[in-house]
Amino acid sequence: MGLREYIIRRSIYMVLLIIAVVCFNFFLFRLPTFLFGANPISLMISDELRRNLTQDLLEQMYANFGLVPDPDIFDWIYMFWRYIVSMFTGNFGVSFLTQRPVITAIVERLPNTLLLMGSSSMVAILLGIWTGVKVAADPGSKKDVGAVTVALFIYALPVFWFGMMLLLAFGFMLPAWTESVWGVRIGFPQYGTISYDVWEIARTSPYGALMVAGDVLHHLFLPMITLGIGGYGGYFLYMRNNLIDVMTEDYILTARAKGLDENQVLYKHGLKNAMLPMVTIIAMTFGFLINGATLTETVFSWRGLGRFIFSSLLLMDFPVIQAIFMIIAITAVLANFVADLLYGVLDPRIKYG
Amino acid sequence: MLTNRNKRLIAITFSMAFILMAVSPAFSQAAAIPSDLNQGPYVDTLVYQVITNPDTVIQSLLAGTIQMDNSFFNPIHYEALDLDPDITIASALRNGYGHITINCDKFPLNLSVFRRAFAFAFDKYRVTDEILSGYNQEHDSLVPYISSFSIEDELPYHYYSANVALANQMLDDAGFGWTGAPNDYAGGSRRTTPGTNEQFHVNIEYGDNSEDIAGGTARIGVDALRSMGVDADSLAANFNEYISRLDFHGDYDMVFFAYNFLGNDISDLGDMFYGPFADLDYQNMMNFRNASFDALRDDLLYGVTYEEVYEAGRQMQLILHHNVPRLVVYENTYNQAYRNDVFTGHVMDAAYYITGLWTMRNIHKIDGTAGGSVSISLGEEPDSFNIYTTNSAYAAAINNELWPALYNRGPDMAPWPDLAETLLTETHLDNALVPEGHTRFTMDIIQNATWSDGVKLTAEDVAFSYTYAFESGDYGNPASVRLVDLVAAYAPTPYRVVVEFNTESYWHFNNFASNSVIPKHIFNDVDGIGYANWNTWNPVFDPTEPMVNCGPFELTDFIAGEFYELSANTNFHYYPQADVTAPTSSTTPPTTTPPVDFTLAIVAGAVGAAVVILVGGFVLLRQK
Repeated sequence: MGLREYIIRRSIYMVLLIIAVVCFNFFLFRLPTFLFGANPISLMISDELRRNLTQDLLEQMYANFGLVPDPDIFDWIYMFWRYIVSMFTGNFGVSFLTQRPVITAIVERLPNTLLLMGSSSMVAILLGIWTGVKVAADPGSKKDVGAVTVALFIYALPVFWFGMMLLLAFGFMLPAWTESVWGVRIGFPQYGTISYDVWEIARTSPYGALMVAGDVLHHLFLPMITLGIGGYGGYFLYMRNNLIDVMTEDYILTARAKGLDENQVLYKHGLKNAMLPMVTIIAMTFGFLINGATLTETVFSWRGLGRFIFSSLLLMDFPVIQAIFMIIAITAVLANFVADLLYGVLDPRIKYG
Repeated sequence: MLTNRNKRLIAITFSMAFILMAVSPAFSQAAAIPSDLNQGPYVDTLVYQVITNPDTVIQSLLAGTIQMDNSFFNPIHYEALDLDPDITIASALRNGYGHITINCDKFPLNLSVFRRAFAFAFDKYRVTDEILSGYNQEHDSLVPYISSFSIEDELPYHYYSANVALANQMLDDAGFGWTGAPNDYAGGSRRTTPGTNEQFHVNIEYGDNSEDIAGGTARIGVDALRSMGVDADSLAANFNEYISRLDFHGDYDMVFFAYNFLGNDISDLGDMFYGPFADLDYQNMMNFRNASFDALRDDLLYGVTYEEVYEAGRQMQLILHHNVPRLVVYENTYNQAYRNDVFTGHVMDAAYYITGLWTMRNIHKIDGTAGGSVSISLGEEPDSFNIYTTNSAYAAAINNELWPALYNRGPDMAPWPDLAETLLTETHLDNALVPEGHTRFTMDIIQNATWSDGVKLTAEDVAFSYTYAFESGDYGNPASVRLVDLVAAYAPTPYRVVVEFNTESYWHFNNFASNSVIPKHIFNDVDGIGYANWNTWNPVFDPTEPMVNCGPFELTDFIAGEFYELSANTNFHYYPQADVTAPTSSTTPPTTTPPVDFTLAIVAGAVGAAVVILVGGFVLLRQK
């Protein structure tokens, strides 16, 4: 079986997997309803409305949201069928909470999420690979032990705490210090993805888009560093251990015997081979980019999908969470597929079949 | 090591990020600020900034990057904020309370003597000292203290301090026994039910996201039960789960949670504890049944004068106080902080506290000049600007500044005229033309109100607003629930509106007077939004949807989830007259500005970030 057959077979598996995940999602998010009778309508009613609620209005609310007050098995089957049809026709419906189209809410937050998660993942991967390679050349050295200790320490730090410390130092203390010394506040923004003050100037300036872009980068820096530094430890340890393994292979010995420079041995022969297992990890990282980072987004008031997913889960906003989880499932499956294909491209020894 | 060139490259790249600091000074001219509460606004803009991290809000207040916080701060920050002379802390008693709801259907909790004994054993002073650090007031009545209907000070006795001896005596007298030696809880003896002599267990559930306050209060409740010899435990539970369980009359013993009121209306007492509603979903979650209480319902709901409904409310509060279907355990104080170094004129509002509409109407610079921009933090982004769909307090903070009403709630929650100039209330006794049993309200409205699209606001709009809420009720609009008795809303003249109900009730006025008035030419059912689309109307977020209003401010700019800019509406019917205030900055016509493509900016930002990281990564990886 060649590459084409492999892709066809995997594609069929992928479709089946996505169908399974979509079906699973329906029951997963309704589990509190199945098990405990928790009801999203209860969470939509304000204290004010609760005091004045009429049965007619209640029935209309259930009808508007496609819910049934006390569903029997036939109601569940009907709701499941409607859910399946909606999911596979791309009609994700409207949010219970905002009554706005779900896809609009997701698309609004997607750029921020991709920006933060993409940039921080790249920081983490590059930093992890770079430090991993540096110390793997000399395993057991003081440098190696020190780097492993630091990586494990940072990896173990709660990311929200690390973010808050960075925010305190560079968002508040640094500007206060520069203001007291130079009379001008220099530091990083405390919240959001864009400053109102910058926006005020940008909207009347011909260079407005560039100014906003610069401001977004300015806001991005601290959360990106928080997630990047906070996550680099995993990549570092993978890289280091892979490379240490590879450096014991016979072809490394052969390269050295050929009289190659140690840097050439490390980067040309060692790193290339050690990178192969990293491909899967990196591909999966990018497959889960749209998950967002709930805690970091909260600390930095970053408007991303992470907080949106979290609040939607708490409020049992089924249309939102089932749509997001379906998209996450598709991207994860696709990323896995791409990683498998990349393996074949990067490693000529691998044959599909 | 990095080469000098690469160091420069990295240094230049990163220093680019620092260059965009902006200052937007506001210029204004001295102006007299009149004392009329309705007059205003005096500032140019309100900027609501979304800050989800409460610690950042405190730091931003201290740093001066925001002037006010829309929410209440955690008392642990009190000292830090109090030490700053540029910050004022506003404290107000909350229009609501924390309480323990008791399942009056479940034996032996269905015995009022047991619930009353529990109330006597509960130590509310412990809640004050141990849970809320003194930021509360002990309270018994099911009507908050700040309501004019509360009879807290008239109650014949209070449950503030623990009276365990009395509680045990009451249980003994009611026939509650012991499994072993009396009053020997520590030795393993437990209370048994009267008659059946069976040991029983009581759980007090609380929200698992509030271990300190909810959990702590529930544990004080458990201590009270144990002091009576009752086998009891506190149980952390998911709020979503237990609130649904209560709504559907599921199984529970006691549940702690909080309850908020918005205005001064206590008519809901008539439904919340009404016996025949004990089997209805979403009603009477206590399953409380009391014939004396039920008999007062009509007096409360259909009393015509304040005195009549006050008397019904008073008797109901006494019955509830005696029977304890719900034990109020505290009425806490809300603390809000605001900076006092730039603006003054803040108004404490019993309904919306220090960041309510009256503050925004009256706030002005401390030198007495008009103008300036006020920055206010919001803990979450507004979910929608559709006044009929949103329940969000964050959306309400903005919507309150945009929409008119016949009457607003004044700082003390009493009606405060907005559009209305005169009010005539008539029943058949006052006017033979009013059908018997009906209540008719006739109001003249001001004649200088204009919608933001330039159309004059008339009585047709006011009448239509009630018709719209009523008719869209058929499509699920919750605004209809308070207008079920409405039979007519019409405008006999351009500035006179008549609203008529088919019952006589003191509460009718409350039920319609403060509802938002909407423009008929936008919402009508012929060529406008229509009744059926009450919930799909998505103003602000959807540029094609109209957002025509006539409040003191207009929403002039926003980036969803980041900030929302409200500018003073110079056409507002109470906008300060030019010869009195004439703030030059406010009378400047708005300039047309080229739109900035935010998506382009995000893409450019992403590309920039990628370039920075790739260059940085390349440079770093090149180091061999």
